[in-house]
Amino acid sequence: MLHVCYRHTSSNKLATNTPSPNAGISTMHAPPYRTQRGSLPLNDGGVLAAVEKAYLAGLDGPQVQSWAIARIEELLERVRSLKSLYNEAASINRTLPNEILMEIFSKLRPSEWLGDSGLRLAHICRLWRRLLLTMPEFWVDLLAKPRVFAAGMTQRQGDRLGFYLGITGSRPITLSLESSARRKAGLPLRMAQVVAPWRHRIAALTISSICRRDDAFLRAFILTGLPSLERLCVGYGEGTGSEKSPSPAGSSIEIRNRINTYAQPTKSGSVQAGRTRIVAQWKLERVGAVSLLADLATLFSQPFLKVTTLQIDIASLLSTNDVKCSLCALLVAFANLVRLQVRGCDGRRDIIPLLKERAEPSGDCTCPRLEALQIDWLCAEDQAFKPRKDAWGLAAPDGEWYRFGPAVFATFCDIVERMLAHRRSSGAPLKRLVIGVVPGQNSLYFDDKRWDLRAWEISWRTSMLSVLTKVRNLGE
Amino acid sequence: MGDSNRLTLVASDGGKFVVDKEVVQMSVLLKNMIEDLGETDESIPIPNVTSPVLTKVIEFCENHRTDAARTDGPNVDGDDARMRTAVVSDWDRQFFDVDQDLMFEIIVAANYLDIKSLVDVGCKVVADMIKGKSPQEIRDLFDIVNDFSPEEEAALRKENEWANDR
Repeated sequence: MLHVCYRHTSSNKLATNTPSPNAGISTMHAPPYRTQRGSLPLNDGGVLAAVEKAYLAGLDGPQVQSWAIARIEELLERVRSLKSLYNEAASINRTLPNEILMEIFSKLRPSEWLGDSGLRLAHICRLWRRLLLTMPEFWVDLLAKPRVFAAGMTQRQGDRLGFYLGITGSRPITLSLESSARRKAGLPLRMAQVVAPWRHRIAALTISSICRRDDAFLRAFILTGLPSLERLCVGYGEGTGSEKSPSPAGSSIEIRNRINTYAQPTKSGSVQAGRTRIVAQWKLERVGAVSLLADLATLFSQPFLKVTTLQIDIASLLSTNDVKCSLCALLVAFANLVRLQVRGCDGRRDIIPLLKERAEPSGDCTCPRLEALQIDWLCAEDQAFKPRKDAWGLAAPDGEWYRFGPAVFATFCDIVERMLAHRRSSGAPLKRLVIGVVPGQNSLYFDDKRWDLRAWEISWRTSMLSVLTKVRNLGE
Repeated sequence: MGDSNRLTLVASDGGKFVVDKEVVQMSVLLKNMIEDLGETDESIPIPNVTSPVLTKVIEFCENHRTDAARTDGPNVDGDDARMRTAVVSDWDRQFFDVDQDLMFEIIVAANYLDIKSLVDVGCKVVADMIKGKSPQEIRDLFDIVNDFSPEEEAALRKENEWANDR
């Protein structure tokens, strides 16, 4: 008969070791359970083997408890191991080799389909978690998801970002950050600190909807060096940065409407023509953007020779010498650009002349490796030409709207053509040109197989005429 | 002398399949074997693939035999191509409308035979099955149980909060 010093309960659970009234008296040379009144036989519920019972007979109460706890842990671990064994035998895990499972995980493309809930894929079972944590590409993809940050970055957001970065292996990292424009608070400085240990692997960086308050962040983040940076996108204001330009469709010209992304287009009103919104651009007061561009030029005053793609979206709308000087400084800093997109300022005045110039002191063309250029033509802002109000056979609603007459457009084409010819003769020919026509929000595509600007002009006129006809019909 | 444009595949259970060489050549493994063997009437054993699985693999290859020519065009790049390759066609979805065991065996066979397009479609179909489901729903779907320890569960709870956060 086995005796223990603690009580047993009817449910066979081990009870708390309650000191007996005789505890501590004359127990020096005898096992305590033998000297205690009320010692009861061990009710083990029949789970103990005979050898275990014999072993426990020689132990005191705390020792039996310790033994029981260790045994429980052992059994729990065994249960977990059996569960893992069960999972290993599940059809998907048993049939598919690990590399196929990993291929399936990669097909989930977390940045597009799962977002941060992709993290839960690592919560299915131990095997899946182990595989996912050895898949840097999965986390690099998840990390590339555009993220909106308010100024007060939460501890949770910081921890999550750090976790993702920590399991990206040695892969190049893409970050897409967006300021919480609604709060106009700017990007959190803390994020720059979280990202700092991995900064050397950042290959692509998109910072959209930035505001003046982001200067501190940009300085903390960029000026300390991004040696692997290859692609940079800086967007200003609301609604920028998320719109993807459609790819050329192979032929020389393609015209597509783009939905205007300005949240609050103008105080003076706008008109909708189908999916195209025409905005009275000159009513927008975004003078601040000009100084922001100057700030950017200061920020990027050091050479970033690994950057091959630069996208700037400044919504400046005002063509001034400051804009031109700032852009010039940026093109010097990013001398090895292959793709350049500048949206929101007057391409004709600000960009095209720069690309015709020779850089000092080498005398080479500005950005000699440039192959693809995307710019805007802010025709409505154009003050240099005064076409007839009825250039399209239409009366402008307020006498100010339609300044894009044939003369303006032909001049624009001439300027573009001269720039293309100049670069070609300088041994730095462009291969692709995309011109966003504001306010019509049409994009015109070229490739170097057919630089037929006149055909483009006709297509564009047809397109705009269609838009203006709709406007007229709406007016009636 | 048999038809030089056709050859015989022998599954692991002895099942024989006479197939066009053009179809068989979607498998890089078999294509290389045919090139090594040259003109021969000998049948080719496929020791790791059973008849039901081989039947499905051949069905897929016959349906997709002209795919290579279709995708060799000059404009297969960029977002359009990515969208195209991300979407599983109705035929492929129907093809994989089989029980899970067979589905996984087809993928494994495709991997063994080195038929990239079949592996690709199979993985996408399984990935689509996973999308939009909670961890427990995924476990139920694939007959998996939660085997994490309490300590691991604590880490998962924290990650769960991250997943819920913006």
